[in-house]
Amino acid sequence: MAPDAQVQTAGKKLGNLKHWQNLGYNTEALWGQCQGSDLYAVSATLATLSIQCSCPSHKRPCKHGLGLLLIAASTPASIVESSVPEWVQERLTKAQEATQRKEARIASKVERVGKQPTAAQQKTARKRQSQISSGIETLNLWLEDLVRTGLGSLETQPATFWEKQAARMVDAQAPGIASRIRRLSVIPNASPDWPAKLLAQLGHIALLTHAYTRLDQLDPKLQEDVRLMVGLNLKEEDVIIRGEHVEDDWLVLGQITDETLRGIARRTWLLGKMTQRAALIDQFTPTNIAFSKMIPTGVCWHGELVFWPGVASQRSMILVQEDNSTFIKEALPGTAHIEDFCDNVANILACQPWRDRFLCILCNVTLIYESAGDNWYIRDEHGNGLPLRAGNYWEPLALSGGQALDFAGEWNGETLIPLGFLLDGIYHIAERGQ
Amino acid sequence: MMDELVKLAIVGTAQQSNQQLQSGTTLDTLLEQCTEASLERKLLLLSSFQAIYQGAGYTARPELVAMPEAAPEQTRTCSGNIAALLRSMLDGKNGAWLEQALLMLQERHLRLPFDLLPKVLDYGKKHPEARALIDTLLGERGRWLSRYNPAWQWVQEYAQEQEAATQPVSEKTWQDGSNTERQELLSRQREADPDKARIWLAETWSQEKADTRARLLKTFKINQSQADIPFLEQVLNGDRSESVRFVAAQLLAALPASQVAQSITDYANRVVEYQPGTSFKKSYFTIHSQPISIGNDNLASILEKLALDLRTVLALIPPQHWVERFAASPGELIKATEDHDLQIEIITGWAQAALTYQATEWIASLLDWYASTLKFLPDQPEQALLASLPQEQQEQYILRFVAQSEYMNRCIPLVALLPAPWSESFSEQCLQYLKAYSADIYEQKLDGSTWNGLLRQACIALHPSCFDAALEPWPLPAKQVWNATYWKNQLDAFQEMIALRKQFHEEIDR
Repeated sequence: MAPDAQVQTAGKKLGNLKHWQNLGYNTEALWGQCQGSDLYAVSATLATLSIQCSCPSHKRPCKHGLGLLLIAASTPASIVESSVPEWVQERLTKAQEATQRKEARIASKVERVGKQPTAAQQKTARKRQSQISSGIETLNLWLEDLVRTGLGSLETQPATFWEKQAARMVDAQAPGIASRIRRLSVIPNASPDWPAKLLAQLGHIALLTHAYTRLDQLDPKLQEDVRLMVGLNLKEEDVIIRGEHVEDDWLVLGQITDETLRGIARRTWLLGKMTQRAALIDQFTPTNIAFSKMIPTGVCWHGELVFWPGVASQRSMILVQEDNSTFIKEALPGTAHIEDFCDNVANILACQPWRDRFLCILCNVTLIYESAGDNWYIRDEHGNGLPLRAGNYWEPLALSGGQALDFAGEWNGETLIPLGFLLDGIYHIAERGQ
Repeated sequence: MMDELVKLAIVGTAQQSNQQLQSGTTLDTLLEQCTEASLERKLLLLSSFQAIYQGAGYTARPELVAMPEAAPEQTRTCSGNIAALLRSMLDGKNGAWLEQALLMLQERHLRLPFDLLPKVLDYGKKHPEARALIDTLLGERGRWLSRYNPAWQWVQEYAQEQEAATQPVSEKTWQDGSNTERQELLSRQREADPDKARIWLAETWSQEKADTRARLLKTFKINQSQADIPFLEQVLNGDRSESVRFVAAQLLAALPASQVAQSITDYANRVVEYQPGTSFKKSYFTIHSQPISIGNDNLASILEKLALDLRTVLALIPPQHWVERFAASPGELIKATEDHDLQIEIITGWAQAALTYQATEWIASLLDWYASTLKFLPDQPEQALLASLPQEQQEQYILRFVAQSEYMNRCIPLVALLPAPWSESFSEQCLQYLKAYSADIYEQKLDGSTWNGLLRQACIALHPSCFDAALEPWPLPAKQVWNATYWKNQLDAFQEMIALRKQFHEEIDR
């Protein structure tokens, strides 16, 4: 949860009772006052684990908030159930009001469904459409130019080379394509086969512009995907109205956090226990600021997710989460054979060729280390293996002792990034660095 | 095909505009639909098709060999709370107490939890002195795991060493082994059965080369006894190699009943003179002014080569010899060295002799002398003398210094010698002193780093009965000075470690 290592260390120090007074909790929140350079009022909402603190730090959650959660985890008996102090009640009321405002906004949107857009709205949409089309035209020329002059010349280009083109796409109201261009900047020289990787990614952008200019020829669901990839984002309330609602017992399998040039991106993978539907929650926050919602992993809860409209959509958001979280203990619903997983990937790619991340659940597999080459694999009972991303997996190997386990990971087409694994009825979250 | 596309893209289509783009797969039909596209656009689209095609056709790596499963454990593991405390220590928080914590696990016949094994194996790689302890805590899983990581090879090596040490010494290896193996074997035989080792060497003596003879003879330092004298004297008087004779002379010098040791004693008698109740004369103890003159020329030449200095001569002679010769107690003799130019040499020589011959009366008297001197004495055997005493006596000796500010700097390295945990009474007195000091910390003459040094030792060695007293609020002066935060932080770190130890003690027996 900590925004950086410094806050994490400071938070651990404050996980000591001697810094705290007036600790308490009720069904909604947890609170206390922490003596730092001043007396800070700290509270945490239990449902979302969102933290509020009166300290002036711009980093969120701050060290005081982490300290409060650490005390709750390590010495729960020290926090007694009590009546809510006024300052905590004020915060809870404000949060409630914000939720109500959001619900009202959605309700008003729902009311407008089916109504014709106003003339002004139509004009804005047409203007944006024209900007995107002209931006894509310029982009296609740029892409063709790169291939005409040769990718060899890109080896020494600075990051600004890519940023300049990305900025043009932002101006052209296509932030999705801009973000794909920014991702290209880290490919040159990053691996021995970087020209092939760069060419493939440039090709995917070309395929996207190709699809966008022929949008009406595509399946309606794929049209939604293409619009989203170009950058015509939907507001949350639009997703709620137009997206697919799925109710299930959701297993929160793990998170992958990536630091980008513009902030921190976090992907949380969930799996529906009954529907076996993979769900991906994307979150982004500028550096040093906490994510607006904490999603605890390794747990299962009943609830309703809404999926963004699209083909075999996995991007989703939590609409309803019942207060019934339990730890993941039972076998994961997945396949025992890697071949089946690869077939599933092929099927998804056949419908949505830009998909580059897949949830991989493999049951009764083993973790394998090959000292020649320092490679790690997940091996199924047929002896087939998928490589794990380079990393240190000695702790999972020590826990498994060569025994079979249920594995959850993210497949990126080349390697698996572990999310967690279930062994002897305990779900272990893969640590950072694994 | 992808390689061809990449080559073309790297060079650029401007250089090879006549290229035909074909993959030879069904992808070509897709490309045919893009009739109006330029060569560059076709190249980009085909690259995208190809990448998707490859992603969809990914095949797993076949025929991976499974790792064998680890054997079931025979011992139980520690609790989750203990594991969490150990993990924080392995991550560096309060790591100074880690080995004692591991020792507590060993005493209770517990093994390490599986998830901590990689960190502990890494710790063993960096700290060879902890390997014996760690080895007992690894369990089946730890041994299994260590086989797969070259960095943890030490586990197998340690097991092999232990196995070799418990194997009976084989005479066959003594006959057929390499020089290193034979030397190692003879050392082990000296430890197990010194007489048999001597017989082995005597039997092969005439067939050995000179440098091998010298090397093998050096193993006689292990378990030296009077029984070695005839063999060593035979070597001293009859061996062809001077280097071998030199090794024999060194060994004989340390055996009081040997002719060499007798000669050294005779020689020392001539250079040391003392009248009870007086001080040693300045003219005595000047060893180099008196040439060695012994009837046996061979022995004299060897002794010359030993280049014996005063300290070595005194270290070789049992200290009781001086008590008997001068009819004076060790304390009187030590006192008689006062004001002698060579006092430190004499005391050091006697101290080494007292340790070699375990002369307890001398050890006590020498420590009294060390305790009474404020001189800074580098490389002195005070610490070795102290370490030879039982812990209770060591603590009593150190308590002489605690709370005497002028002695405190000397006290810290001595405290470090004490086995942990300290006794209850020693812990109480140290804690009392530390608290009294902190109450008046800014007025103390003593350098604060010394207080801090004792505090750091105390946090890992304080007796468990003092935990509650140590965790009570400490009296710190109200006066605020520039380094007040530093002292408070030191105290916080001390109390944090004590709290951890307290929690560990409570948890491990729960």
